[in-house]
Amino acid sequence: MRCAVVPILAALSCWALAPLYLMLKVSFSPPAEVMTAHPTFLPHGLTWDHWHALLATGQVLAPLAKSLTTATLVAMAAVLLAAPAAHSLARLPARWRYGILLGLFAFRMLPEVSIALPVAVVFLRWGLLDTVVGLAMGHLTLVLPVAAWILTATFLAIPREVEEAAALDGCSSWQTLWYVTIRLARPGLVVAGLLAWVFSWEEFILASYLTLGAKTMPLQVYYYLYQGNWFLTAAAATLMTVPVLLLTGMLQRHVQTALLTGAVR
Amino acid sequence: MKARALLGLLPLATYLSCLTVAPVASTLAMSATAPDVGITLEHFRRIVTDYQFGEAVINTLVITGIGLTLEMLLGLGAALALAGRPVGRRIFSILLLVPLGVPTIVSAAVMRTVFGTVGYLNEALLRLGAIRSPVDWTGERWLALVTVAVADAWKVTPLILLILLAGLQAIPGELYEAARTDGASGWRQFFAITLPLLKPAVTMALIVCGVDAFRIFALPLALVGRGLPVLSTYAYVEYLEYGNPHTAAARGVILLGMILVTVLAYLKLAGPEEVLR
Amino acid sequence: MRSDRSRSAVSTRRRARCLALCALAVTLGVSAVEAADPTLTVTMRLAEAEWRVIRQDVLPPFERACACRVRAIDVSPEILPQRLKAMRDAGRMEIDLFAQDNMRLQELVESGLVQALEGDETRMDAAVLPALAASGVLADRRYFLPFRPNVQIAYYNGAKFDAYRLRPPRTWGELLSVAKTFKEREGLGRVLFQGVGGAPTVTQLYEWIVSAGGDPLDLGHPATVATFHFLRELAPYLSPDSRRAKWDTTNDALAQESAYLAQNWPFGVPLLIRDYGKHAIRTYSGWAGPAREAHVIGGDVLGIPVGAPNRDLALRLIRHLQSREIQETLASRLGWPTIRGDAVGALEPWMRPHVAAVQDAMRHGVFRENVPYWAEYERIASEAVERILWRKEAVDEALPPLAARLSDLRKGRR
Repeated sequence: MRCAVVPILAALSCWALAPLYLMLKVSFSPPAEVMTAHPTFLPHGLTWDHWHALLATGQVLAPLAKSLTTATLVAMAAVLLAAPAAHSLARLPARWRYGILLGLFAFRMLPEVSIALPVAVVFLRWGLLDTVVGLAMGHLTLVLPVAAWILTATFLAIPREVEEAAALDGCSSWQTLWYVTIRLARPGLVVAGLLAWVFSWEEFILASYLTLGAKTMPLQVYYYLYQGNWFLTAAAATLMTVPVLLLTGMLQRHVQTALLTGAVR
Repeated sequence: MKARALLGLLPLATYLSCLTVAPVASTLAMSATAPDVGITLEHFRRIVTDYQFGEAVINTLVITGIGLTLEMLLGLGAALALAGRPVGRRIFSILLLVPLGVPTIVSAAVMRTVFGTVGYLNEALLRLGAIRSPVDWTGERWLALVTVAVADAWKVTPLILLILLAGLQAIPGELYEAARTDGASGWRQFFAITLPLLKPAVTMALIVCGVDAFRIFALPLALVGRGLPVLSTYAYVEYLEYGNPHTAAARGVILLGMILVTVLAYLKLAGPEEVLR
Repeated sequence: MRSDRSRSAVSTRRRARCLALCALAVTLGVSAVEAADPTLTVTMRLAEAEWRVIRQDVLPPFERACACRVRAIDVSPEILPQRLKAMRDAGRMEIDLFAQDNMRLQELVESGLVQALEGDETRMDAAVLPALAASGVLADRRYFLPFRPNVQIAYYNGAKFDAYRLRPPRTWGELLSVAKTFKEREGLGRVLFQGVGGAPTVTQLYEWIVSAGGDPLDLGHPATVATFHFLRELAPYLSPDSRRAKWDTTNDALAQESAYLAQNWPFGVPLLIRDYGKHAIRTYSGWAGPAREAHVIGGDVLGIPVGAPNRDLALRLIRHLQSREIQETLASRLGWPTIRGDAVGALEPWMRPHVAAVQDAMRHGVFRENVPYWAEYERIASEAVERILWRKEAVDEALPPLAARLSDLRKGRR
C-alpha cells in the first residue's frame, strides 16, 4: 500500500498537468502542428512567434500588474476580515454558526451575472471604475464566505485545551491568541489566503463590469479567446499560470506544517 | 462572553452587509416584478414551463453528483497520500494545485481541444488503438454529462484536496499512536479515526464545491453548446444575449432555492450534530 | 526551528505586502497622471490586426484635427449594453461613442441607453450607400449611423473539394449532394451549420429562409416551412460540431479540418490564411436557395450613449470615421467593405479574391427587419432549430406551436 502512493500521486499529477502542458505546447507550436485533425503530443516545431505577438500588443504588463495587485490585496484583506470572524464563529453553538455561514453563502449562490450589475452600479457611483481598490472590494464580497468557512473549520480544529494550557502557563489572552492560536491556525490562514488570491486572480465577470480601460489578465485572455486566436490565448493563459505556481510553491511549506504532536503536553 | 465573542464577527458582517444586501435584495425584487405590471410571478412561470427547464434541472444534478463524487474520491486519495509525507511530497503538492490557477474560461477552451472530435483524447485513444474512429464525446446526452463532469473535476479537485488536507492536518497524531499501540490496523485507523474526524472538512468541501457545481455554465456551453442546458445557462443567456434582467434574476432565485434546499437536506440527512462540530 | 520558519514566513509576508503596496502606489499614480486634454472614449469590438490599423492610421489624424485624445477600448457586443446600463444607473457615463454589432441594437434602444440624433446630425454624405444610410433607424427615430457593413461568406477547403472532385455548391441541391458525399466518404459530416442557438444560428436561418422566398418572421409561411424541411433533410449530413458551432469555433473547425465547408464572417480570412497558413481555404459568396441568393448584412454602427460627456467630439469622430479617406484606409488595409460608393481600396494581392467574395455577397445583401420583439424571436427560432435539427422532431409537429407563439407576438399579444 505504501509503495503505491508515489505512483498514484505521479499519475494524478500528470492528469493535473496535462491541460497546462497542452497550452504551453500550443503557445510554442507553429500553427500547422495544432490546426490539424491529428494534433501532436510532443513538440515537433518550436516558435517564439506567438509570444512575440503577445508582447507586441503592449497589453501584457499592465494587466498583469493590475491582477497581481488586486489579488494580493484581496488575499490579505480576506484573511484580516475573515480570521476574527471565524474565531468568533468557532465559539458559537453549532446551529448559529452554520446559520450565519450559510447566510454568508447566499450571495455566492446567485449566478454572478445577476449580481454583477447591481454591485457595479454602486461601485461606479463611488467612482471606483478601473481602480484596483474597487475591484478588490468587489472580489472580497465573493471570497469572504469561503474564507470564513475555511477559517472557522481551522479554528474549530484547535482544541480548547491548548489555549487553556497556555492560560494556565500564565499567558494573557492576547499572548495566547498570537503565540498559540494563530501559530496553530497558520496552515488554515495560508490556505484561505491562497484560495482568495487565486479566486481574485482568475475572476473575470465582475472585472468586466468594473473595468473599462485598465483590464485585468483574465479579461485579456478572454479577449483573445473571443477572437478565436487560440495561440495568443494559450500564451496569455500560460503566462497567467506562472504566478500561481510560484505562489503555491512559496506557500506549500505552510500547508504541510507538522502535526500537532506534543502541543497539548 | 457571548458579546465579546461576537465582536470578531463585526468587521466581516459590516463589510458584507453594506455591499451585498442591496444587490441580493435587488435581484430578488427583479425576479418578482415586471416593468409595467408590478409584482408578478410571470418570470418564474416562463422559466418553469420552458421546454428545457426539466432537462436543465436533471443535467445540473447529474453533473454535480458525478463531479462531486469523482472530486471527493480523487481529492481524498491525494490528501491521504500527501499527509503520509511520501517522497517528493513538496513537488506533488505544487503540481496537484496547478489547475487552480487556470481561469475557468481557459479551462473550458482547453477541454474543448481535449474532448473535441479532433481533440487530444481521441488522438491518444486512436494511437493506442483503443478506438478505431473518433468518438463524439459530447454528442449523446449522458456521455456529454459525464464528459462535462470529468472536465469540471479537473478544475475543482485541487480545491477539495486543499480543504481535506487542512482537515487531515488538524487530526492530532497521538490518536493514531494510541490506536497503533492498541494494535489497530491501518484500515481500522482510517475508519475509526480519520473519517469521523474528517467529516467537518468533508462537509465544507461538499458545500463550497457543491454550490459552485450548481452554478456551472461555462464548461457545458463551451463543450456542448445549448443542447445541454444547465440551470445557469439560462441566467447567462437571458442576461447577456437578451438583456432581460428579470428572467435572469428569476432563474438565479430558482437556483438559490435549489441550492439551499439541497444543502439543508444534506445537513439534515448527515446528522447535524455529527457533521458540524 | 519553529521561529526560523515563522521568521521566514513573516519576511515573505512582509515582502509580499511591500510589493503589493508599491504596485498599488504605481497604479494609482499612473491613473492620476492621465488626461489633461479632453479625452474622447470610444469602444469597439475588433481583432488585433484591426486595432493596429485603427490606432495607427485612423485615430491619430482625428486627434490632431481636434486637439484631443482618443481612448479606444475593446468591448464585446454582449457586454456593452450591461456596461452602459451600469454607468447610466450610476450617473457616470464614461463612454462617448460606441461601435456596436447591428444585430444588438434593440436592447440599447429599449433600455434608453442611446441618444437619438436630430436634424443636422442625421445628415450623411451623399456617397453613403442608400440601403446602409437607411439602417440605424428604429421606431422612426435615428439612433445610429453606419460605420462598417459586414456579410457572411462561404469558406471551403479547396484541397478536399479537389480531392473528391467536387465544386463549391451554388444551390441547395448541390449543397445536399456535397454534404452527402463527404459523409459517405469520410464517415463524418463535413459541412458546418452554426447551430448553437442565439444570434449566430438565427442569422444563418434568416438568410436561408429569405433565399427560399419565405418570411423569416412568419414560421407558418410555406417557404419558411420548406426551409425547415430542407434543414431537417440536411441535418444527418452535417458536421457533429454544428451543434455547438458559432463564429469563433467555425474558424477552428475549418482550421482543424473537421469541417470543409462553412459560412462565417470574413474575419476568419486573415486568421486562417495569413496567421494559420491554411492556403487551401478559399471563399466565395455562397449558395442560392430556391428563390434567390440572400445574405444578411451585419456589421457595426456608431451610436452615442445617453449622458456622454463629449457629445460634440463624438459627432465629429463619427464624421471622421465615415469620411472617404478613412473608409478607403479601412478597405485597403483590412479588406472591409465600405459604406460609401466612392471609396476605392488598394488591396494586397492575396486579399483580392476574398474581398471579391465579400462584395459578391453584399450584392445579395438583405437587412433584418428591426422589430421590437427580436429577442423573443431569437428565442423561438433557436428553439425551432434545436428541436428540429438536433432533437430530430418532425417539422409538422414542432413548428406550428412555435409559429403560433410568434404570430401572437406580432399581433402584440404575449
